[in-house]
Amino acid sequence: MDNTFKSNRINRHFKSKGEKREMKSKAKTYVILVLSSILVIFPVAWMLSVSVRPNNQVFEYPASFIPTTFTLEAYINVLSNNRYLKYFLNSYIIGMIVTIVSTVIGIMAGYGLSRYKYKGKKVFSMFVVATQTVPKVALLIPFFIMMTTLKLYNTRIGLIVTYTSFALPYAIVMMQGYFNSVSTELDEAAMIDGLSPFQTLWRIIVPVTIPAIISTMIYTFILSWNEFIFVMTLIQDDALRTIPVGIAMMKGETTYQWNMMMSMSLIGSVPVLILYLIGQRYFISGLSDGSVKG
Amino acid sequence: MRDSKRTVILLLVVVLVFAVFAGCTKETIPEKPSTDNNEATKAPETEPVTIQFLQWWGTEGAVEASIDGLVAGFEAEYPHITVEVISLPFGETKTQIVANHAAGTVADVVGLNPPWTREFVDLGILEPLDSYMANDDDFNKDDYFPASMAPIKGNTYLAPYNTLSFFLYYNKDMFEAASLSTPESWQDVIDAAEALSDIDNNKYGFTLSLSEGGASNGSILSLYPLLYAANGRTLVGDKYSCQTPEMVEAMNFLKTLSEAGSIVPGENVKNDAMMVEEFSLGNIGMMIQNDAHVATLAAKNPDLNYGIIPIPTVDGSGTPELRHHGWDIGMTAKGENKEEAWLFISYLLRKENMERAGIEMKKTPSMYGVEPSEDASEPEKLAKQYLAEYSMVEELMEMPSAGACWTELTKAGVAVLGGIKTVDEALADCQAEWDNILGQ
Repeated sequence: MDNTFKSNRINRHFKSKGEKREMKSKAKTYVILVLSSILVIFPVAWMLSVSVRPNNQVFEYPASFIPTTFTLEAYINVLSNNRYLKYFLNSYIIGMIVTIVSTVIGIMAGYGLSRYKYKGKKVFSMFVVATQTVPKVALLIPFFIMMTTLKLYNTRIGLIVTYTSFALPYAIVMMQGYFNSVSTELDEAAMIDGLSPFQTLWRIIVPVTIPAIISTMIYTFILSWNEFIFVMTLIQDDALRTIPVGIAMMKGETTYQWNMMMSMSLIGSVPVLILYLIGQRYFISGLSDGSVKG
Repeated sequence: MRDSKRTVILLLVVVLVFAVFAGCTKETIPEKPSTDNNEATKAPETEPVTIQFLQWWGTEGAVEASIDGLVAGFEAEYPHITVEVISLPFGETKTQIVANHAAGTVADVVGLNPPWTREFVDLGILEPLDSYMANDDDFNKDDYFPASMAPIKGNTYLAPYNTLSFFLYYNKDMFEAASLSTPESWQDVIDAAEALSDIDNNKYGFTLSLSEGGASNGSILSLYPLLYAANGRTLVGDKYSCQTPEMVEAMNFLKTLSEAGSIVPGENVKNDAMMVEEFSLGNIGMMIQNDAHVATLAAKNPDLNYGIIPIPTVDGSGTPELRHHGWDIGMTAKGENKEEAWLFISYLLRKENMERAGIEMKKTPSMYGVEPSEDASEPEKLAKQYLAEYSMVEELMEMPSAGACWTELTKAGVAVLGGIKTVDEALADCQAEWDNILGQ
């Protein structure tokens, strides 16, 4: 009788062994996800914690996640200083221009590589991919000499040109891959309706490839937003500097402004976060779809 | 899920918009000092000239305002000269000077760390200052600490500005609690460090930086100051050696501290600033650091009760020497306005400006007879006193490829403290690298 009662209770919770296995598997998955999340989120959370404490309490012992003294002085110092606000503005301007220019050129180049056959197409394609393999640091001095020769040193245009050259190969490869997955029947139908190739691209093909375009735009914006060594080298005027340099300026020889570094980093990551949240599903689908056909 | 995502996005956008429009700042314009009683001869009126002054000092808190004030004073005295101040992060300054020189866009006047000098001279970056110094009636070499003006290949390339010499910092409260007197020999330091260490309560006798990373790294913060305190040298005859008895002694000193468990863990990854952060917390007994950190500690923990002394000699006999470090000024060879550049350097080196900068920047001017301000802390006053009393040494200034060499010495230190090599093995390997780098 007892055994029957007990087994009935168990059977009410778990109808089958399969369900039991599934529950265990789910529990394992959730544990791994929670631990991974803590691993990833903890540094950012610590940044937040440091950004809201006075600079002389950053290394206090015993270390505590909750600051002993809570203060927004770091944020106030950053946001009330015209110099730092200029860094943000420069990062926005350069990021947006590089994103738009790279995406537009990438769309057109990708379409050309996808739809047309011409002499040198393979060589050009290989060249575009090959430029991605060169370490950026190796290009520092050549770019520096190039920009000074072209009188673009210490100008926004010079920086935009430089960043665009980094972002373009990715944009072209991504767009070519995505266009390859779009049926040519759409192009043929558009041309039958009297549209030119240019019109076909922008009015028919581009609307269909929005995920890849958004994914490309997010990537190029992040690339431009986070770049440090080239803006450090190519820009001398403080009024033209960007956020990464602004953060580096808080590291002196004898003192570091830890809390201001963290606050500026967090404020600087907000636009990227917004972009990613808005285009998250496009970004993920664009990454995978574009890679199906090269 | 979508609604909560939208809410998060909306919140972030609000934060961003608020950030963009938040605050407004009242830009402070540095006061231009009155020129009514200016005794200096004004330069004759000439064509307007702009010179560039590149340095990292402006990233050090209040120093930027001090530089702006000095520049304003200079421009008031020389209305035809405009000084464009370019501040860079310390970690990037050396690289950028080299890159700018290669491209022909280097500033006219540059702030320098002495260890960079020989490399810059070999690259042709720096202009010799001998003729400018000799022809300037306002400049007398004997008024300044000589270490920075030591000739390299027969010429002087640095104008001395601020001196940052290395001392032994010690936590007075910890010493008093343990009934310890100030160390007078290296064995005293070892014994005190061991007595002060209480790992279970996170107290350590010593903190050390042996990181290869960062522009100011490892061995120059510890082994070199110890070497000179022991009256040692790396230049023996015409060859650079890291196997001198004094260097072996210095390495053994650090090894002993490490084996006793007296050193705060993590020396391999710690840089200059992190050491000072640790010491400021008040649970570290001692550190070797330069006197610039007197100002850093005042900001970090004004209540920290600490003292500074010259690092003692090995056995306490004789007089130790101080490792000289500093913020110095150079003129670039490719600068187009050398006369104006020297006028600016000379202006900065005037006694009244050195005194002012010393107070505002909280650094020790490289000049004799500059009294500390009345409200200077005891360590600040002691630093100035010691700098006037003790000899200073800076071999790295004249050493070719100094940066690569001291990095090899840092690696040797890491290998010894990590138990990977013995002191003799590590220094022998380091010497082989030095011979290779220096072609000796």
